[in-house]
Amino acid sequence: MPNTTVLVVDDSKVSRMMITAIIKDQRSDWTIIEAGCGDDAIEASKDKAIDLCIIDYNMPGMDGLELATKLKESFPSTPMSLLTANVQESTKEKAEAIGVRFTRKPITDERVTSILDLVS
Amino acid sequence: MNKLNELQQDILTEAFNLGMGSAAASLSEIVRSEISLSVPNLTFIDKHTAAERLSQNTDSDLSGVSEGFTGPFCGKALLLFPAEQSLELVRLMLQDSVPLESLTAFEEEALNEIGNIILNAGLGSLADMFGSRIETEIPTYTHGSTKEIFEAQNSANSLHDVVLFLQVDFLIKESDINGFVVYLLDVDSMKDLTNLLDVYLSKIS
Amino acid sequence: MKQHSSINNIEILDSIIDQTVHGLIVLDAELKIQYWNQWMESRSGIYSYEVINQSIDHVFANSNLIRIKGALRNAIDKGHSASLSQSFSDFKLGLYNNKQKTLEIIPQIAISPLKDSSKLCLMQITDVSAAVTRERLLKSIANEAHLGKEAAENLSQLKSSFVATVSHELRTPLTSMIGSLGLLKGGVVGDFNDAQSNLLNIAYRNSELLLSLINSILDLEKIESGTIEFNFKNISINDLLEQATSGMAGYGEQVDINFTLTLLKDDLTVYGDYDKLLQVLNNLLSNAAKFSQKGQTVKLYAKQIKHFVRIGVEDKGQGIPEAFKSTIYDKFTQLESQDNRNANGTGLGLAIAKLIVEKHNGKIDFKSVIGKGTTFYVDIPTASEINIKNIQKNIQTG
Repeated sequence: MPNTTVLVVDDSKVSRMMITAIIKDQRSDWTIIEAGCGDDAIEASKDKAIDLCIIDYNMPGMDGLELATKLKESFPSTPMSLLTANVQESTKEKAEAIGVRFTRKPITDERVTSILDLVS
Repeated sequence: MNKLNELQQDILTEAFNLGMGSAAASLSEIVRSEISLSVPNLTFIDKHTAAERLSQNTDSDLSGVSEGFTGPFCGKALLLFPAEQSLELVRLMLQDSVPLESLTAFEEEALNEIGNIILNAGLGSLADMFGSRIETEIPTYTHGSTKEIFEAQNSANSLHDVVLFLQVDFLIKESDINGFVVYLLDVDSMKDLTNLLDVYLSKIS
Repeated sequence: MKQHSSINNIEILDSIIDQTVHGLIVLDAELKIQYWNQWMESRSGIYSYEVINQSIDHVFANSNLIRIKGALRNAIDKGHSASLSQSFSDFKLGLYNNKQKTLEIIPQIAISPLKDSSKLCLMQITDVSAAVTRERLLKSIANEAHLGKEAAENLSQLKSSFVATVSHELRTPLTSMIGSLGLLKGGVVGDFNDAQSNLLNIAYRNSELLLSLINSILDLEKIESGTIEFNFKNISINDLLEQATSGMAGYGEQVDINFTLTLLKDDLTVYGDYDKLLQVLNNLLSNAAKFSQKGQTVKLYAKQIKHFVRIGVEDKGQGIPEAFKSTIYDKFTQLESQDNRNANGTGLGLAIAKLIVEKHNGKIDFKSVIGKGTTFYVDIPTASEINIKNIQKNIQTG
């Protein structure tokens, strides 16, 4: 059985470090693909099986929801969550409207774990 | 000594991201509209250049609020709007017509209060991230060209002109009001700042 | 540690605080009052011994404290300062006079952490009731002025469209009349005897005068309301002067007046509307001719004065009486010329001329002596960057 693969997208290297550290700690056998922006994420996920997406909202170029919408075309049944500092109601509503989870930053073990649990 | 390495810069930017996210949420509730934020832009420059950089985004006079802060690092936080847009914002907040061409003293105070809420939210998040306490001073209304405003930000803790300049642009979508949040960090506190960042980095690695 | 002064004496510091014209309250981490200054005592009618160690809820029992308490908590827990303006907080402080509560004051409140280790915060209260009342009054006056201004603008717009419509409605039948009379006069449909011709001429002439009057009124209204289109570009003064005199040549022959022209030795350029400036010159030249005697000369010249070009129209005619001098630019003011040649004027020419010249950032003036003659001057700034910018601004603001 192929490894569960997570796509982690955040323009902050440190944030990616923190998220991947938690994933490695909680799910040591999972494969992690990192990207620093929307375009890189799409490139990196081409022709791959992605089982979970963790996406920052505020990024240069495409924002997190635009990316999620694009990814949903290739991975319609993959669970996705925003992990973001942008905690406005409107962002939350937009995410829910396209079936994307909304998780607030700061990045903590509990918050990341709750996203990982989306993959049954 | 004045520069931050890539990771340190990353953490600081993320920290302000968090702060601004919080601040935008507060502002969003007050003006009942969505706020869009730019990615924070971080540089080391002197105040003169900082003023110039900001004035590239707008050539009108600016109105806003300035708030000093002390803690693990010190400096000034500013929330600025192009002058006519500050009138718009006050009208929006007070749901009142502003028949005069400039803000009266009380409209200034209203702007002050909003600025205070926003800047405090931003600095509060920042403090939370590092587990520190950042104390803020009572905000003051400020107005003028970018140069005039920046020149007026004398910090009692620093004689140097060089600051860590961080600019976040935001847009109140429904009313098309745009503004800037600027943090001017004293270079004197750089050592404390880099220590803090390194401690944080070691905690998460 | 900051040292603002050399005063260490507690009594003196206490005295300073008591003489402060603002309320100063210090609260601890449980929001209990630890300091209540003299201003607070006299304004609230509550003595400090009554409130020390009391919770703020207890002291301001009837007030809405949600925002204030939130700010106080932030100050203590996070070290954040707050500025609570009277626009958003509806907290009111009772104002006492001899323990009788007379009215409430509107306060402005500033809250800040005290920078020491015992977790205290400071609340400063400023009485802004008088200022708020003044401001509200100011606002209502400004509002009314604003409404008044809007009403005036609406009226002006109504007037403009009224004038435009009426002028159009008047012009159409008038043009028809002039056309028909012209054909009759010209003998196209047959000849007339002298008496009939005479009547026809009178009818024709007056119709033309009426049309001219309507056009002038419309012109004037357009310039005044800023709806006329000015077509600004760089113009040679010598060109303008030559055009003016050659245009006047026919008229000059008709009324037996000699027009002479002195060009600039070194031509100058102005930034202006060629046709409108020509209109001004034509008006001045025909006025000069009307008020001169047969056979006299009217001079047109230009000279440079610093960064202006002065165009002069000089006649040796009857001059302008003193009494007239102040009203000469007014609308419909007409001087009677000695042989009544001005009967064909509308009285609007100079009014229009003045507006046109002013739109060019220029000035119009005259010198006149009864029986000796009159010289009209039009001063226009020479074309330069500043001038062009000013004019463009002028046009935009109408």
